[in-house]
Amino acid sequence: MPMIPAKKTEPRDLFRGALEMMILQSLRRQPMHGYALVQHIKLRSNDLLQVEEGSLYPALQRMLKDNLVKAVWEISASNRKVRTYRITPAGIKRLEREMSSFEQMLTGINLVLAPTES
Amino acid sequence: MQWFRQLFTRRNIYSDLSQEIQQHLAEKIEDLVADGMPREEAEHAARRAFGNATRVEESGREAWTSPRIESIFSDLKFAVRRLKKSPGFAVTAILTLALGIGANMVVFSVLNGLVLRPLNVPDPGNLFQVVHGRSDWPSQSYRDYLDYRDRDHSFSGLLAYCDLRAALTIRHVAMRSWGYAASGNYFDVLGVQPAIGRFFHSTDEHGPASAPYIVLSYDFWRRQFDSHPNVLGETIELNRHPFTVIGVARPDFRGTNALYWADYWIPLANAAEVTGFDDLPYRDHYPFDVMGRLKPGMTPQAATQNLNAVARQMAREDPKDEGLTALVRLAGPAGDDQDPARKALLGIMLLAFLVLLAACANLASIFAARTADRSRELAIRMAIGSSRWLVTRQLLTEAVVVSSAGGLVGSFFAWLLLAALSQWQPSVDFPTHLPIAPDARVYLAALAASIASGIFFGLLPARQVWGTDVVHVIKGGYIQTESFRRFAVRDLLLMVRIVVCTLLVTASLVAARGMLLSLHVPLAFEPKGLMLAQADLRMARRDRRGGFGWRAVPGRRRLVCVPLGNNGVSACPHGVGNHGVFSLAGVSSGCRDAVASRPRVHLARLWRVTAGGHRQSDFCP
Repeated sequence: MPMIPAKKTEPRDLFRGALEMMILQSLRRQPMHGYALVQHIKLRSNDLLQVEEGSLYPALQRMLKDNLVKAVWEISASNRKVRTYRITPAGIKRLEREMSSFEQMLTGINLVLAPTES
Repeated sequence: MQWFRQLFTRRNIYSDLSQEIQQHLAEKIEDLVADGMPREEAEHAARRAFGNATRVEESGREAWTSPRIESIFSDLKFAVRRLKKSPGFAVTAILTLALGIGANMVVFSVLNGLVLRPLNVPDPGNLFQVVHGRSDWPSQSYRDYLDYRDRDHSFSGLLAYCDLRAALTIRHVAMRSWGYAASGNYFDVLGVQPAIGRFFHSTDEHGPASAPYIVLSYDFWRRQFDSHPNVLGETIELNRHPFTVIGVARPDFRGTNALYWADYWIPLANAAEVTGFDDLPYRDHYPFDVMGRLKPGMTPQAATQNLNAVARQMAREDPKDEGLTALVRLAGPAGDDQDPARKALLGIMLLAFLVLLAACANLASIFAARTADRSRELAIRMAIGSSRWLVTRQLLTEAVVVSSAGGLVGSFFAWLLLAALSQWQPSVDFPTHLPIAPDARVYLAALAASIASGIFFGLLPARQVWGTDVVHVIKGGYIQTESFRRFAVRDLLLMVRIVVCTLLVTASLVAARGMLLSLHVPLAFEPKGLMLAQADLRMARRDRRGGFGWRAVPGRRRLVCVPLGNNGVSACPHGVGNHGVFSLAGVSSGCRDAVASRPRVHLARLWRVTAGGHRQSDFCP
């Protein structure tokens, strides 16, 4: 996924499904539109992660097609016509599954990276 | 099916995505301007941060497309474009195939309607007919039916019925009508339900003439009573015997004969008073068709064995049943392997298939020649990276587009022809219906034939592409296989065409000659300029054996009678334009022999002998 740690010159993929997971988790907290999603992820990661804006929309389209999110045109608080995304029950299910496997992976990586006991 | 729905909503999806991206950029620009950046610079910065918006949009669209389906669609579009460029070729190819596929569809539809389609009853796969074992002759005597029904236990129910012709009188208006006289359990065994009212049952019968009930067919009810529900309880006369209407069958149930649609059903117990002859007491009189439902787990073979055991027992008890055998086969034309119509239709089907084969062989050669003309184009496509499979697929798509268009045109004309044919009444004496209008199976067969033909004649050019030496072609050569191979395939095709066409022409000539001969077959009278009229005196409750004289109205003397009919019904041809009014009865066998012994007796002579009435005995003692 084209997630790039901020202040790095070369974009590096995190792992497959990371962007999707973060989008779903953000939408689980509250429905929002594309631009707000970018801002939200940036803010929540203390600017450590920055979503490559262009990669957000193809990911959202894939999730729309898989029925993980729904989109409707609405008028935002700033009186702007925006397309707001909401997570669907199928999206919640997918998110929980992905997070569980992510945690397992993280545990595994931590164990491997942990200093060897002498 | 989601992708199919998306085909029609995709335009909206793409438009939403495009708008959304523009909104994103606008919002970003506003934010940057609000942070103090000049608008122009903000616009550049927003676009830089977003990346290539067109590419992003395309990437978003890709989520909704299936590359395989998209490429098939683009192949189709390309094939249609190419055909548009050569309309002469396209029209010729499409019409050639339309002829082949249309002919096949017509014959298959007739085969389907007359032979393959099961009877329109619930669970037709478990409705079996009991026929005579050795001859496959379907009719049974009523006494044999009773013995089969009562002594054998293979069937959960066994019914019997016979055709019935009678004068039907509704509110003092008489008309000819055709129905069934059926055993009381007829509807129960078939498992059909009435549209209104009720059917008769075994419990309604209590001996001869005990159940004067009549069930009307839906079509008859619609025609004669305008679908009025008050018909229940009304009295209808059959050969002047009153019957009470108790129910109307559903529109899709028209009896147990594929070709003959009954107007009504009456119980067998009351058939004798209508016909004036009791069919029931005889063991050697076979007017009844016998059908039944096999018990669960019982096979037709086992039921045949069981019935034959009963038949042997019956033969021991009554010498009239000597040699009686039974065979259980699927009811309706589908179970009748010996049906001559089936054999004839299979023969015609083969001929129609040969027409299609000839059309395909012809088109294969034309397509091969076209492919050779496109040598350079195809070679360049392969040289710049297109795989042989993609080029082959393109050629096959083109062939299938032509064959599908041919199938569509052929199906349309076949449908027109079949619609006209299904209205045709081959016999004025009998209410025959030809249920040959195409159904889903026929359309599926036409579709399969179209696609298979396309693949068949598209394979030759595809084969050419597969063996192409790209470098050689680009240097100025042509797509062609090695000479000995080309000889083999093209010559084989030519041979197939010659053989098939010779066969078809011969078959057509033989058929045409047969038809011409049958039109001129000696009839013992000169049919030219004659019309045929018929009368059935039984309908007026006259005894068919009694014999009746006929009379010519004075001044209308050119009226003659010849024994054309059967079952005591005689026919009377009379001169066109002479307005003969006739009154006619069964001609005695003596008269029949007399006329038959004088081939091509001219009607004028017959008239001279018979028209006066006095000398009738000269011919009809």
